[in-house]
Order: sequence, then C-alpha cells, then structure tokens
Amino acid sequence: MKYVRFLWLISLVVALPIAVRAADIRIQASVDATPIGLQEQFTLSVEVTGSDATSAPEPVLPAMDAFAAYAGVSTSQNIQFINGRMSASKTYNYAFVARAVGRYEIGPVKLTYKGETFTTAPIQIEIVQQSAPSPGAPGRPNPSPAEPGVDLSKSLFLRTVLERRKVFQNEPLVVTYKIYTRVTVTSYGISQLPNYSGFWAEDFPMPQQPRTLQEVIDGQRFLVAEIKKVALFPQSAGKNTLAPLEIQCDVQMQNRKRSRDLFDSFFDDPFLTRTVRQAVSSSPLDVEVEALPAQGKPADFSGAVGSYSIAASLNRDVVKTNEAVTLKVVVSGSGNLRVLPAPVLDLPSDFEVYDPKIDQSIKYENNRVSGSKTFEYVMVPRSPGDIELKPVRLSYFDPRERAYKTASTRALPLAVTKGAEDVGAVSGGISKEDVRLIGQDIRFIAATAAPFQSIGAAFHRSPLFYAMGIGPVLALGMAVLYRRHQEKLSTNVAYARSRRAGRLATQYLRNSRKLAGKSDGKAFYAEVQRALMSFVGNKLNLAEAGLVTDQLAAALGERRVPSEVINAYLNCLQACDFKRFAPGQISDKEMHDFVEQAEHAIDNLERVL
Amino acid sequence: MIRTLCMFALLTTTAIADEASTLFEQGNRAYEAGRYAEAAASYEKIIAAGRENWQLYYNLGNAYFKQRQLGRAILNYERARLLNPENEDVRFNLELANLSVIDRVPVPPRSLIVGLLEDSLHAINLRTAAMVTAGLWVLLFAILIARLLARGGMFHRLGQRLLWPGLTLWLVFAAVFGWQLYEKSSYEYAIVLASRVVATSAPSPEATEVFTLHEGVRVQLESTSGDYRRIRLADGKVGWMPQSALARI
Repeated sequence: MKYVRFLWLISLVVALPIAVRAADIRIQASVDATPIGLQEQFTLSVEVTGSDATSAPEPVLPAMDAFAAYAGVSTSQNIQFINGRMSASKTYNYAFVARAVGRYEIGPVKLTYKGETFTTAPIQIEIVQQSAPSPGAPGRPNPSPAEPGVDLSKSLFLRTVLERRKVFQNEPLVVTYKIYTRVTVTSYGISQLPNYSGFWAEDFPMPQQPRTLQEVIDGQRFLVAEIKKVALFPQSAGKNTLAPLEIQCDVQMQNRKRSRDLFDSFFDDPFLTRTVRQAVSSSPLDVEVEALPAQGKPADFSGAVGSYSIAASLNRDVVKTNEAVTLKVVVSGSGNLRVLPAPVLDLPSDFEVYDPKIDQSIKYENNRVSGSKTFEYVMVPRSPGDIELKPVRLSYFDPRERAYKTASTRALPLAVTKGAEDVGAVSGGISKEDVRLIGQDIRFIAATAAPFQSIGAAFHRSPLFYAMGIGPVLALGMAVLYRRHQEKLSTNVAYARSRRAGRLATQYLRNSRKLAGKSDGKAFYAEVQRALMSFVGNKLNLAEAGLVTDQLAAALGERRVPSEVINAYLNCLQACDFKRFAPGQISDKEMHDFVEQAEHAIDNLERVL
Repeated sequence: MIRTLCMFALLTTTAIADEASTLFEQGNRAYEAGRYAEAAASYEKIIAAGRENWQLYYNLGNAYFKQRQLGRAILNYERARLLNPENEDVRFNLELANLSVIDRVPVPPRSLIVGLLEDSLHAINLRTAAMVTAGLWVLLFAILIARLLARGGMFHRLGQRLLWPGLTLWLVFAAVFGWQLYEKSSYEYAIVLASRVVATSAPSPEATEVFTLHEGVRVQLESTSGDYRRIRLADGKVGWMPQSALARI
C-alpha cells in the first residue's frame, strides 16, 4: 500500500511539470461491437481523459460515410478529485448504423487542443450481412440478433398505408406506417427515415405509446400499431417513389430451442425470454402525381389545393385619414395551408398597406390536414371618402371535385373621414416631398373688379372685331378706286371733262336761274346755252367753240343716244339761239320753264351717256 | 319701337352690371369678415347672372380654398387664369392650391424650344391677342391707304417705313391668336371635384379600375359616352370617369 502511494507521488512529480508544459489529454477510441450486422447500430466511443478533458473541444471524427450513417451523439462526463488532484474524463458516444458489408477501418479520431493534436489508433471493424452477436451496453436489456433459424418476417412487418395512389400536385396525401406483429416488441426505433424527395412532408404528432389494435390477416391475429403518420404534399407531377421506412425492433422471444450446450440449457427455461434485435423495413411505394389541370385555371391561382373558405373583417368601420385600420382575412379549410400565400388585396391606390401578420393553426387529425390561417393587414388610408373594399378572393383547386373554385369574402364598407392633421392652412399631399410653401396662405382677394362681361363673350366674336377685320379692306378698296379716279382725271382729258360736265352744267343752270329772276332775257338764254353746250362738249370731249348742231347730232348718234333725247336737246339749243336774238320781253315764268326743260334734257342725256 | 327696345336693353344691361358690382362688393365684405361660404354664394350669383371677369373667379377661388373645397378653388383659379394668364396672384394661389392636391401627375418634360414656344404662345390671353391682331390689321390698312393717297408726301414715306415691320408684327400676333383659338376649340380641360374618383378602362362601373384621382386634379377632356367622359392626364394616362365628378374649366 505504501508502495502504491509512493508510486502516486512519483507520478505526481512527473506529471505536474508536464501538465504545466502542455495540455493533459489522452484520447482513446473504441467500438462497442465487431462484427456488426448490416443495418444495426453500433457505437463509437471516444474517451478523453486528463485534467483538460472537460475544456477540450469535441473530437473530429474520420469520414465514415462509406459504411456507416451517423445517427447521433451522447456525452458523459466524469470528474474525480483524488488527493486534490482532479482527474476528468469525457466520453463521446457516437451512434452509427452499419450501411455496407465488409471490413473497414475507422481512421484516427483527432482532437486539437492548445495547438496540440491528439489522435487515436485506427480501429478495424467488420460489417456482416447477418446480425452479429452484440454484447449490449450495460443497463439495457440484452438484445441478441435474430437467429438464422427464426424467420420473423411473417410475424413482424411494416405496412405503408396510403389514402390513394393517385394525387394532384400539392394535394395532401396522408401516409401511415403501421407495424404488424405477432411477437412482443418491447421497443422500436426508427433507424432510417425516408427522405421523401419530391414531397413536402408534415408529420402528424404521434402519442408516446402507440395505440394498438388487433387485426386478423390470413387467419392470424396481429397486433397493429401506427408508428408514424405523415402528410405529403407532392411538389412535382409524375411518378414519385416513396422510399421505405426502416425501424429496429427489440423483439422478446421465448426460448424454444433445445440445446445440448450446458450454458445454453441454463437459459432454456420456458419462462425465460430473450430479446432479439430485428431490422424491419417497409416496401417502397409508387405514387402517381397528377399535375393541376390547366383548363379553367384562374388568373389569380397561387397554388392552393384543398377546400377552403375565406372571411374578412375590419376592426373598425370608420377611420380617419392617416390612421391605421386592420383588415383580418381568415382562410380556413383543409389542404396545403402551410404554404398558402397571403391573398393579394385589391385596394384603392391611396391606401398604404403593410405586409400582413400571419398566424396559422394547423390540426393533424383523422387523416386530414386542416385548420386556419389568419392574415392581418394594417392599412392606412391617405385620403377621405366612402370606400367599399373589394372582396378578398382566394382561388383554389378542389381535388375532390377536380375543379378550380374561388372563395370570396363580402365587400367591406369603410368610411374614411378627414383626419385632424389635415386641417392646417396648407397641408401638402402626403406623398409629395417637395412641399415648399408650408405656413403660407393664399393671397388676398382682389378688391376691385374690372367691368363685368357676359360669360362666353369674346372680343373675337364681337361685331367690333368683324368690323375691324372687314372695314379696312373696304376702306382700302375705296381708296384704290378714288386713287384710280384721281389718276384718270389727271391723265384722261375726256374722262376729266366728262366727270366735270354735270357739275359745270348744274353751275351754269344755277346762274341762269339767277338771271331769270333779273328779267335779263339775253344773258339768261346765253347762260342756258352755255350749260347745254358745255355739258355735251365735256361729255363728248369736243371743243365747244364752233360746235355745230349737225356735228353734235352725229356725235350723239354715234354714242347710240336715242333720237328723241337728241331732238329734245337740239330743240333746247335751237330755242336758246332763237330766243337770244328775238326781240321783246320774255316773262320770268317762261324763263323758269325753259330752265326746267333744259335741265330735263341734260338729265335725259346724262342718263344715256 | 326699336328705340324703346334699345333703351330697355341698355337699362337691363346697366342694371345687371350694377347688380354684379353690388354682389361683388357683398362677397368681398363677407370674405373679409371670414364668412367664406356667404362670400362664395355672392360670387356664384354673379356667375349665375351670366357675368364674369377674372377678379370674380379669383375671389371665388379664394372663398372655396378657405372652405377647403380644393376642387372648386382650383377650378375657379383656372378660370381666372384663362381670363388673365399674366396675373401673378392668380398663378400664386393656383400653385399653392395645387400643392394640396393628393395626386402628383408627372408632367413629361418638354424641350427648351418647345417650352419657350409654348410660353410665348400663352404670354397673352386670347382677348388681348384678338385685340392686338385686329388693331394691327387696321393699322396696316391705314398705312396702305395713306401710301396710296398721300403719294410722295410725308405720310407716304412714313407708311413705307412702317409697312414691313407692321406686317411682321401682325403675323406674329395673328399666329398667337390663331393658335390660342385652335387650342380653345380643340382642347377642353376639367378639374376633378369629387374627393375621390376611380378611372376605369371603359365607360362602365364594372370595368377594370385604371387609376384613382382625387379632388383638384386637372384633366383633359376627350370623348363622351353616356354619363362617362374619357379623360387624359398630363402624363398620358387615359381613363373613363363619371361626368358628375368633373367640372369644365
């Protein structure tokens, strides 16, 4: 005893400097069994000991994918103080499931701590086709592999129950895994979960202790327990294969086998049982996934498959502008609720709407995935008015009726009143950034008004406008005519004389009228003759002096003057000649009459010339 | 008989003018006292009697603005601007009122030249353009007549010098007048009076909603179908809305 203590002391003396100098770690790996049966679980234990064991990181395992599937890890720690010296050990138990038959080497397990790397020696393992005897961990029932002679497949098997083999895309398909047994299964564990590729899977919650039922198959009574239930939502159309589910069962078997072995015969007791570990696998199943029909697909269809109803409510009917109002949309029913997207709201453009708050409560009962999903939209109306929110619609595909359907809420009335913030003198539009004139007011009214005019009266439609348009044109026309007349007067003697003829004749006749009042017969007739002669001379542009009656008659005849007019005119002229030189008194009346006669003759001639 | 009729017409016109001035004064008193609704009612009476001028529309716009009737305020400012586009107060208040309009219709940018051209074409109102055009027309003809009659005289030489500049000036004003006349007859504008109106893609309430407009937006009027009017926004968006929601400028 003293010797042992002495040794301890020595080891302390030796170990302490080492502990100071480097990490005090030892690492050791072991496998709980070899050979290992295919699909059976084995444990790789890595024990880290030393005073630094508790603070060391987890060791790094070598790659073992080729022959084993990682199933989980558990750790245990053990710390001891002996004579003030701490000794600790930490054990990592890595559970693996053997995957491939053959001899394999588990490479060194590495652990790096404080710059030092510790490794274990490699371990040789063998995986065999049949279950190998396993020593079992202490404290557990001692399961032994099924003996080659005992065929358990007839009395213990898994069945996969499908509602149907043909489903639509996104239609929930409930898959139930049932264990059928005629032997006592003390415990089971799922060793391999199907990966459900091509499906979205949602597990049904299962009771801790599966309920068992009895079923008779081929005259044999089986205990049946549902061990797993999953709702699958096919993601793509086509044929999808459900991979098998694998479980490991610990089966309690009565020893019926006789053995000559003394050791075996010890256990060969009818009341004694032994536990056998058995891997059970379901068979793969094909599921045909049908694509949703393209015909009749609503434009707003967003992938909801099942049977739904939709309801909407507002938390208030009257809201002020810029205040929030909550629209609650509840979609309930059965189907792929979890992936149901938020309904798209058809809101007036002046509504600001935020992303909805989504709550869902999904129940997995009686082979159905049902429940409700609540979308709460917070909306802020920006302008006042009585608004009717359009019904919220949800288009879904009903696989039972193989048709698209649309669930719709009712339209919701909402009165938006002007909010308090809107009351300022100038409140810029909410959405505008460039309000520059805050605090300014409109300019004051005009105190005096210009004369009122009739509505619609326009200057360009007034008579004055038209007069201003046409007047100058007429004036210019007249000016042109006047100008032309002036030019004619100055250049054309005949025209000038002709234009002057009437005026001169009138002047002479006026003179003669004055003379008639003075009873001066000679002068009177001379003046009348002058009027007559000058008129015809000017009109015909003839020299007055030496103008003979015949000449005159011929010239007038050329101008196509009617002969009676010519004759009347010539008669007047002759009368003048005759009276000028005739003796005797001529009465005033006679003279006045003659003036009228001459005037008449001139007028007549003027009319035709 | 005709003389009596004329006398009667003259008297009525004067009476209306007097009444309009009185109502205008009444409206101004009410406005100054802060009784904006009463002021607006007085001004509206003048319009109902068929009389107008820019001050009336401007004051009426102010009265509506003070009552927070943005659509009517903008409508009347626009009417005032039609009669007096140069007035600074009208422009200022219209701009201020437009800031409160909820919808911002982006006006497509115009090039510098187009902008200058448009601005110069609207530098004077239609009435002034018509008057100047007519006046220059008369002047041009006066020059021509003077040239014709006073050949070789002082007036002739003066006319000679003024003829071409006068003609050029007349052409400019005639173009402005003609353009404005064309615009007035081909483009109609309106203001949205409803606090909120939905423009649809077709003249029926069931048609697809295209956009929503709010009080005070200026729209261009296009064709009519039943109670619906096709409208166009400054940025080119087109939709149909009930005529009751609109008021022509």
